[in-house]
Parts: sequence; structure tokens; C-alpha cells
Amino acid sequence: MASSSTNKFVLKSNDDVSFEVTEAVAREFQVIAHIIDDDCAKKAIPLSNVTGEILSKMIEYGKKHIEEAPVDEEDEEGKKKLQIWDEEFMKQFNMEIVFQLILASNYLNNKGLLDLTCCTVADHIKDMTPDEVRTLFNVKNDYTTEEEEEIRKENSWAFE
Amino acid sequence: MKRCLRNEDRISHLPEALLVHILSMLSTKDVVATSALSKQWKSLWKIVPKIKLELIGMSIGIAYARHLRELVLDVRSEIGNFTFPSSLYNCKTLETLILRNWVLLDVPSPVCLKSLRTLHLDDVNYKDDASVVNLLSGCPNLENLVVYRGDQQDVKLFIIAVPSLQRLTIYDGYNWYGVPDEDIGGYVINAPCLKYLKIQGFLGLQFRLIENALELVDADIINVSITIDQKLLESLTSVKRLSLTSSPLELSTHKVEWWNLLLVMLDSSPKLQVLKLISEKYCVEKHMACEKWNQRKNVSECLIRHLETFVWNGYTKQLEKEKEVAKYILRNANHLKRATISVRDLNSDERLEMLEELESVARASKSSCKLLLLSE
Repeated sequence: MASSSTNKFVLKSNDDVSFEVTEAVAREFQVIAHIIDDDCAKKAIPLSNVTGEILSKMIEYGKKHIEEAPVDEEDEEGKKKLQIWDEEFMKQFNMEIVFQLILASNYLNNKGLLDLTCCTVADHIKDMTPDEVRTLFNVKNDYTTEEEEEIRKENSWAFE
Repeated sequence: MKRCLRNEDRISHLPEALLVHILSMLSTKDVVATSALSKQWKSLWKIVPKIKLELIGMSIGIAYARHLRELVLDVRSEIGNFTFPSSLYNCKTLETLILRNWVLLDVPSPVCLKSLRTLHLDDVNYKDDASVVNLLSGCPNLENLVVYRGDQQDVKLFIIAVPSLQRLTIYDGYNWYGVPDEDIGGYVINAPCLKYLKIQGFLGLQFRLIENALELVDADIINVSITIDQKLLESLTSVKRLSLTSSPLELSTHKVEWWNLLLVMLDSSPKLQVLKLISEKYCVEKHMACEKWNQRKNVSECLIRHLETFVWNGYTKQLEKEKEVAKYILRNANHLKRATISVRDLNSDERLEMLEELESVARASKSSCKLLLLSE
């Protein structure tokens, strides 16, 4: 087997877009790493739950985290640089894409991207009233006025 | 603000594990506020792990404000200990406190739990030895104390100095193998009003009774090493029911032999009515170096006056010492009504022979004892 830096794999999205990536990038996604380890990665690896648009962004994220990986645990500067890149990376997406990225990174099992995308959603909920959260995420309020009143009363401190 | 392009509720459709993951990144206040979003969100916040511990603290705070009398706190946690809130250490109304599992007791200074009568410390964690002392010294009316400890070694010397204590149960499940040494730690008990004592320990654990408990009526001592301080044995002077479970083989490595311990126990328990011995393993004869029982001048008072029931499980025939002890008790227990001996590894001829031998001894005494020989 060739070394992981030269070994290439093809990832294929559910809308038939193919991406050629190095083994290191492919291994950023645990599920794909398992497929490679099981030696089932001879041809293109089909990813039935991910669109080409999302997959390209995930590969971009994976590549960056391979190339710019901090040297070690103490490399604070390297970590900071990558963190700034992460923040900029997330700014380009609308909520629709963020949710697709959450599901895809959960599916392909990349903890870094899952945490990053979940954190983006959490940041939007932070310091917002329930009404604002509902509007932002299109959550339908199925409480009656009395029921909602009751919920708010139960833990009134959380709604002050 | 970037809204979802389509008017679709993407967030509510995420798998629950992912929603919990997102919620765990928020402050407690923000997490609880999500309960107002919709019915689906009503109870979701309650399963966010870090929120669970904070909630316990808040509920206790509310309970305290309402003059709490009984508190049972059982914390099952994946993310660590719940530190018992220090505000509760001065609760004047609390009568019963039961703490279980992932509760951490960090008591840097003496507490004041004036009304506390019952305390259970069930597999909880302790900051240090002083936390135990500070907690118990602040309970002047404590009557029942139950201490269960598992594998944690956070307290070396567990000091129980409670003058009002009447019932004490200690179960120490620390899994300890090897040769006992002086360093293993244990329990120091100073409870002169103790009536009921139950100790289940492990070999090598030291139990030390500082003051004699003269009112002790019931003692159940299981698997405690015989290196226990003699004072504990001397405290058994008033005990009416004594149950002793031990394993001769394991005990044989100690300074004091098991048989000698039994003798001390019999001598120091003049009101003993029921005696139960449990031999769990084979005993090796060469370890026996003890006083000849059949040559004793004085017979223990409990045998002459009180002992009515004698049970021996796991009795092995090959051992002369065991036979000697059994004969001694049968011969001298004047009021013995029932003796049940379960024997290991005996064929029917040997059983009959042993029964006859023991019966002849029992007949020689003044009792009308019913002797039962069982095979294990």
C-alpha cells in the first residue's frame, strides 16, 4: 500500500459529484477511515446521505485541519489560527446549510466539525427569547396560551 | 440574521442526541428557556447531563427554604460528583439525611445538624478524613448511622465519635487482597450508647472501639479481621445475640488465631444466646497454635447460663481443632436447645460416626439438646 500522503480515494456524493482526496483527508471522517481499514475502498466510496455541495465544504474543512493542524498540544498559536479560520468558515453558511453540515458531520463522524456546527446553532440560541428562537428556526409553537404560561411559571427565573 | 431559506423547522427535526449536544453548549438559563419553544422541547432540557447536577442543587435550595425534614439524595451521574451544598450543613430542621452514590462530602469545618437522627452515607465520596469528623461531630442527636463504602479510598481512618449513637451499620466493600499491614486504615468508633452494631468488612481492616459500649445488645460481625482491637471484643460484654462470620484459613495468617478470638468473644459475651459460626474455606492444621480447649479451667459464662442455639456452617471433619471447639461448646452449654452443624465432604458412614461422637458429648451435658448434622 502506498503511504497515506500519496494514496488517493474518491468520495461520491448522493447527487453523483465525485471528489478525489488524499487518504489523510479521507481519514478525517471516521466512517470513511473504517471503510478504508476494512479494505472496501477500492473504487469510489458512495456517501448516500451527503450532497455534493455539503461534501465539498466538509472536504475543505478536513483539508484545512490536516494542513494547518497544530504541531502539538502546546501549540497555542496554531490552535488559535485554526479557530479563527473555523469562525470565518462558518460565516459563509445560512442556517439551512448549517443543519445539513450537522447531520453530515454526524453521519461521517467528524467530531471537530460536529462541535463547530452545533456551537454555531448554540450561539444563535444564546441570549434569545423563546419567541426569537422560534422565528429564527421556524419552530411552530403548539402550546396553548395557558400551557405556555404554565411552563414559563415553572421555571420563571429562566425567562427573566 | 440568517434565517433558514425554506420555512422548515430544521432544528426540531434533528436527532435527540444532537439536540442535547447543542443544548449542552448553552448556559443553564438558556437551556431551561427552550422548554417554552414547543411541546417537543418541554422536557428535552432535563436530559442534558450538566443541567441535571445544577438542578439538584437548585431543588435542594428550595427544599431548605421550606424547612426540610427529610432528604434522600441519590445522584447517578456520568460526569462526576455532585458536591453536597454547604448551606444544608446548617439545616436545623433536617431529621433524616440519606445520601447515595455520586455525592461528594466536602466539610472543611464542623456542621450544625441539630435535629438529625438518621444518616445514611451510601457509597458517597469524601473529600478527606476531616470531612467525616466535621460532619459527624455536628450531629449531637444522631441515633442511626449507616455507612456503606465501596472501592474508594478517600478516607483512611473513618472516625465515628457520636455519643448519642444507638445503631451503627458499617459495610466496607473495599476489595483488598494480599497480606494485611498496619497501614490499611479502618474505623475508630466512640459510641458509648451503641445498642446495635453490624459490621461487614474485609480481612485486615481495623476496627477500634475507643469506649466500651455497655448497652450493646445485638452484634453482627462479618468478615472482619481478627486483628481488631480487643476493646471491640470487650464491648461485647452485654451482647445478647452475636453472629460471627469468619474464614479460618484467611484468618490463620494473623497474629491471633481464630479459635482464640472465639474464646475471647465467648468470654466477653456473658449473655450470648445464639452463636453462629461460618467457615468458608478449609483450615490448615499447622497454622493452629492455640490454647487447648479441653484443658480450659473456666468455662465461658454464656455457655453455662445462656447459650440456646449453636449453628456451624461449613464445618470440616479433618480438623481436630474444629472438633475440639464443637465438643467444647456441646459439652459445656447447659441450656443448649438446638445445635445445627453443616458438614462438608463426609460420606454417610463418616457422618454417622461423627453424629454419634458429638451426641455422646452433648448427652454428657445437662441440656436436652437437639443435635442436627447436615451435609453441605
